[in-house]
Amino acid sequence: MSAPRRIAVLQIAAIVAALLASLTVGAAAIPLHTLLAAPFVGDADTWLILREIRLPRALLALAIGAGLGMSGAALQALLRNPLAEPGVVGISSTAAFGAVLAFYSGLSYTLPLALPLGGLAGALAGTLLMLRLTRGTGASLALILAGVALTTFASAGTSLVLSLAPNPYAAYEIIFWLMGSLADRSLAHVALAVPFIVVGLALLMYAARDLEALALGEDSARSLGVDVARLKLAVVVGTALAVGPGVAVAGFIGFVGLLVPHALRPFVGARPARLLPQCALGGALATLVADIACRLVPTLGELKLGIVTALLGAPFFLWLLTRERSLHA
Amino acid sequence: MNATPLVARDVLVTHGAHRVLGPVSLTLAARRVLGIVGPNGAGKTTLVRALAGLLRHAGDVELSGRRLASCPARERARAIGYLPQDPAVAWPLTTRELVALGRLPHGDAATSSAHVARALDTLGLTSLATRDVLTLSGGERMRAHLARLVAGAHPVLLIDEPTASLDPGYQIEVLDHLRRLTRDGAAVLIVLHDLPLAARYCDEVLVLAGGLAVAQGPPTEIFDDALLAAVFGVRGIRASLAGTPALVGIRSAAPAASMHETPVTMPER
Amino acid sequence: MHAAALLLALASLHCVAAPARIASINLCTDALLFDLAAPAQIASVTALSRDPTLSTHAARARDVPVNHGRAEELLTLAPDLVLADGASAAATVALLRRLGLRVETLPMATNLSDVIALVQRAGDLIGAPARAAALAARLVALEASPPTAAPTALIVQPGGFVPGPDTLGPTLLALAGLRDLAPALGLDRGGFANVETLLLARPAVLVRGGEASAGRALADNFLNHPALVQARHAHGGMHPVAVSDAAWACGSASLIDAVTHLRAALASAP
Repeated sequence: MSAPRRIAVLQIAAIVAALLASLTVGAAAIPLHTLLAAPFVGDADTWLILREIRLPRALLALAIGAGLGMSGAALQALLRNPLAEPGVVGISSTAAFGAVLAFYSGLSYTLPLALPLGGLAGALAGTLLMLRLTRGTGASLALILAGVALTTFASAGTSLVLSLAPNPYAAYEIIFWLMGSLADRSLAHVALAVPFIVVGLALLMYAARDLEALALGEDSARSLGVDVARLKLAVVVGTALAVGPGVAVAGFIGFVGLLVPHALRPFVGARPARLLPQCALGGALATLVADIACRLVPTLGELKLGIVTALLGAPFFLWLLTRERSLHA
Repeated sequence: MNATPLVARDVLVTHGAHRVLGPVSLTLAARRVLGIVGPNGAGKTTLVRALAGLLRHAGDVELSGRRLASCPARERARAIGYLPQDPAVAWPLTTRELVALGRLPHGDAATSSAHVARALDTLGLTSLATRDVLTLSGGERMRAHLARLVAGAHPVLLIDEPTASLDPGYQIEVLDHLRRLTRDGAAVLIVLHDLPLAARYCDEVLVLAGGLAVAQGPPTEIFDDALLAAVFGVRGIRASLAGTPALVGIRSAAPAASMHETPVTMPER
Repeated sequence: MHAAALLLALASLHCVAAPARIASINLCTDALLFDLAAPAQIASVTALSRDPTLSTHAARARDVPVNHGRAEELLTLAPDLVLADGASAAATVALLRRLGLRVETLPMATNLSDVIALVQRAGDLIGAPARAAALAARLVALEASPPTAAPTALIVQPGGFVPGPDTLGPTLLALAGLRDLAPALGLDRGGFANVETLLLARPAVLVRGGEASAGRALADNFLNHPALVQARHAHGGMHPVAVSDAAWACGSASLIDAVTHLRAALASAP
């Protein structure tokens, strides 16, 4: 078996194991055999907990993680920069802003789809703005500055909306939007986010083929018959679909799209056609494991998912930055 | 191949109201190497990009008699192989993977091992096939890029300054390969900054200055001192190669003459 | 406890006659003012009193000038007495005293005897001891006839928040004859409930409250979680009873209404 295939099988096995682990972790201490027997034995309570509380959470972690992982790899290929990922370049923040607008305006109460669509619109706007701000150069400085600008603006907007919201609880919910959480997500949330994410992943995979040619630069890619404009559009829309609705349902989760491609590249190679699907698996695994960690850390409530990913991701990001600077020094 | 591979008629590129290039006309024949030379800013890269269909321009470019603008992207990609100046490789690729990218226009990048193997062999890269391209020497890497072009089996090759940052030995190597490609039927257009190299390897040269073609023809006819002085501010040092006087070096156009030009007879190649 | 209250009542009889104009800078002291003071005495209450989800006197509050608890407003008002409680900003209280206003701070009530003492002290300050005594008697009567059955219950507010013994929540449940499940869920000091443990504990009665009058928040999702809804349909239990927070947040007359409402809801429940 080739190395990439072995890695894929390993990741899938790890995902299955993590899935089982995730289903066993919860506030109600239920032993594994009770959990597994529940659907067959007619243990309605346990089955309810499993089906309506723990399973949605795990499914969302997998789907959102896959979306973040694959879109991170796709952005890094498109911009030809290893620092790119939805959180860093500001797309996740603008998605949160869009979702917050849709939710606290009451729109998503009358039309539930408005929530993921708000996240999608925010992500789309953010991606287009980011490309415009960096004017397709992909240079690290431009990228980071664009990310800072978008994140600052979007966070300020989010805080403003939450402060103006008539409901008094809204102001406290900023923590959810800025730090992400999968607590008490239901199958309704799964239905709102996962279909979009799946379409986004498919679109990014479709773009992966043409992304290969970008290794030679945009001009060479165009001379090889690649429609670079359409490729960019596919990556933009695919990223927005894979990231936006996930943020709408779980808040801001950063650094997964940065860490996972870097972790997998040494083993799978840098070619997009191979790297993108592997990063979807890796992102799913990483997010699920992080979500399990949230519940195991003995804090008063549950730790926020975005905190766990940031604790790992931020130091790594700094290390990447210093390494890049020393390479260019 | 009855029709001429590439014909450009009055190609004109403007940037706003500012004329960047043209009108320039040229003919690229099969089995020939056409060199584009000229000082910096003359518009050489602009010309190549316009011919490759990467720029909007006025005027016509015809591919084997058909208007390039009306060719579908796939067909254009199959017909024209383009290599920009200082080609970058954005992420680690093996030599074989890089060369395989050349098959994209043919849509068989995954299954094209025969074409890829042949291209690697032509450029002498078979032993380096599994090496990371970024670890190769400058010359080896340029050969890998050329192999990518070869794998694409393009009748027309447009190459922008392939020798620019190479050591002299590699420069010769690359140009030798290109000449060999024309023997296989390709029509090659190449931008060069080194005049003696252009004189030696090109069947025809086009001298570009200020966006216009100031001279076109065989190097032995074109590279006279009047032109060299006017366009480049240099004078030629000539030697006799196989009986014909050829440009083998350049020196300042300033009148202070420190060297007598003695005809040197070079051994036959 | 009662002796001390009596002494205070006697002592206050020697004070100046009832203050002509009284202002309140807290929600709970607003309620006491509305319960005990003559309408002419009420100079100002907080703006929060006009929110029906926070105050049971919202209608009356509309006819009364309101303040936002800021020193400047109180100064221009120049009341004879300012009522505050433990929720007031200490800085504001100190500033008001420095500016020469008479400020009396009332304690927060966390159980029935606290509420009774609070009502009596308020009555003395306001100059309505008789009315206060009557209210105190009604409060005492709450403890007299507890219902016989003791179903399990939990008060759950948006976001899954369960109020602890530092509020009147446990008292409300006890007076309505309900057995508080919070300690069983590890929430004896209050805190956030978890859908899973709530589902497994399945209190017979779920006392909902605290829902805001306007707008949406993520906090609404907790009580509407599909798992809870489905569990209720499948096995019953977790019978929801809505009790306005406003009624029991403060130690005042509305506590009696809250307890009565809750007892009635339980009596008619399946």
